[in-house]
Amino acid sequence: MVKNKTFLRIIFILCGVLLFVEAIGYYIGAHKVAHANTIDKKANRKRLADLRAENSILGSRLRSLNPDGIYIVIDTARNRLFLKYGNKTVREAIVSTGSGNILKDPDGRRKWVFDTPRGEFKVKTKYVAPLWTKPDWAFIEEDETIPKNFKDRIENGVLGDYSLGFGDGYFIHGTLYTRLLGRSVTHGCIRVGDEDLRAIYTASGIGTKIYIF
Amino acid sequence: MWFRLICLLIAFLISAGAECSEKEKVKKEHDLLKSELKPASRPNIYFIFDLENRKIYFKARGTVLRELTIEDVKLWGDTVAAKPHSLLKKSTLFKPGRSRIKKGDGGTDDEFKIDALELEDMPVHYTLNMDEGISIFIRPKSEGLFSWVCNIGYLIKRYVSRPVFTVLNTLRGKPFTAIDVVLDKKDTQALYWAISEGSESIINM
Repeated sequence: MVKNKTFLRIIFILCGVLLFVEAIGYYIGAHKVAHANTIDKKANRKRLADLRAENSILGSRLRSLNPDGIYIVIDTARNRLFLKYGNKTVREAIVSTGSGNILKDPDGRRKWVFDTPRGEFKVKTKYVAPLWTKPDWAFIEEDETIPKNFKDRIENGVLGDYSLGFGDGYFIHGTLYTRLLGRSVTHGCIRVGDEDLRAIYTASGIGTKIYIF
Repeated sequence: MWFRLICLLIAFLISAGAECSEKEKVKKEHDLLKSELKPASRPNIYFIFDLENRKIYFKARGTVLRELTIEDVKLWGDTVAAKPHSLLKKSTLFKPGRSRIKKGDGGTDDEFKIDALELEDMPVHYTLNMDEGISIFIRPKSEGLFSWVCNIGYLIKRYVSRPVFTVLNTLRGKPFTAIDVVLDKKDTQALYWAISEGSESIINM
C-alpha cells in the first residue's frame, strides 16, 4: 500500500514536470513566433511611405526577371508540358519524361541515370524531321556492340517531325510510342504527341525559356 | 469638452494602431520581396512556403510554376528569418529506389511492363531538413485506419516531443524550428518529387 502511494506520487510529479516543460515550450514557441517581424531593424526604422516605395521598386525588379514572351513549363511529376505567356497557359500537353532508371556500362566505368534535367533552360536548336544520333547507352541497353562508324549511329523517323534541343543532348521531340504519353519512360528527353509538338515548335524560337521541375 | 477630447484621443489611437499593423504588413512584404530576389536571379527552381496564406509555390525567376494548397500547419520554436534556406536533406522511412536496366531489356513499349520512378512511388510522410535547424514535416490528410493510428503518433509529437525539444534547444542555445504541414496526398508526393537537396526555400510565417 505504501509502495503504491510512492508510485502514485512519482507518477504525479512526473506528470507535473512534463506539463511544466510543455507550458514553457508553448510559451517560448508562441513568444518567438509573435516576434516574427522584428528581425529587420533597418526596415523597422523606415517610414511607411518609404517602405511602400521600396516595395514597388523591389516588385518591379522581381517582375523584370520574369520570362519574356512565350515560355515552356514542364512538370515532370505529372508529365505535363505547358506553353505559357505571362500567367496564361496557351497550351497544355501530355508528355513523357525521364524514367529515373540506371544503366551501367559492362566495364562498370560509365553510368547513366535517365532523369530529365531540372531548372531553367532555353531552346538552343530547332530541327525539322530530326535524325537521332544514337548515343553509347542506346547500344548498351539493346546489348549491341557500339559502332565505330558514325553513320551507323544515325536513325531516322524515331524523333517525330520536329525537335527542340535545350543542351547536353536533351530534346523536346515527337514519339512513336504515343500510348506511353503521360508516363515516365524516356532517357531524359521530353516526348510530345504530334499535334502538340507542331504547336510548340511553331510558338517557340531559339532562346525561348524552358522551366523544368 | 471632455467627451470631444476623449473621442479625438480614441480616433488618434485607432489611426495610430491601424498604421502600425499596416506598417507590419508592408515591412513583411518588403522582407519577402528582398529575400526572393536572390533565388529569382539564379537559373534554379525555388520554393516559397507561404504558411500565412497556406500555400506552397514552386517558382523560377519570380514566376509561379505550380501552387499547392496547405490543408493545415503547426509551428514550434524559433521564428524563421525571411531569407532563402537551403534544403540539406530529405528524410523518409522508405526512400524511393531507382531500377537498374538489364542489358537487352530496352524495349519498354509494353505499358504494363514499365519499370520507372514515377509520382506514385514517392513517399507521403517525410521531413525536409533545412539549414539553421529548420525541419518541415510533411504528411497527407488523415484518412482510414492507418492514418488514425498515425494520428496517435502525431498527437504525441505535437503535445509532448515538440514542446520538450523547443525547451531543450532553447536551453542549449541551438536554433530550432519545427513546422508540420498537412497537404493533399498527391501534393505531398509532388513536393517530394520537385524539391531536391540543395534547392532554396523561403518560409513566410
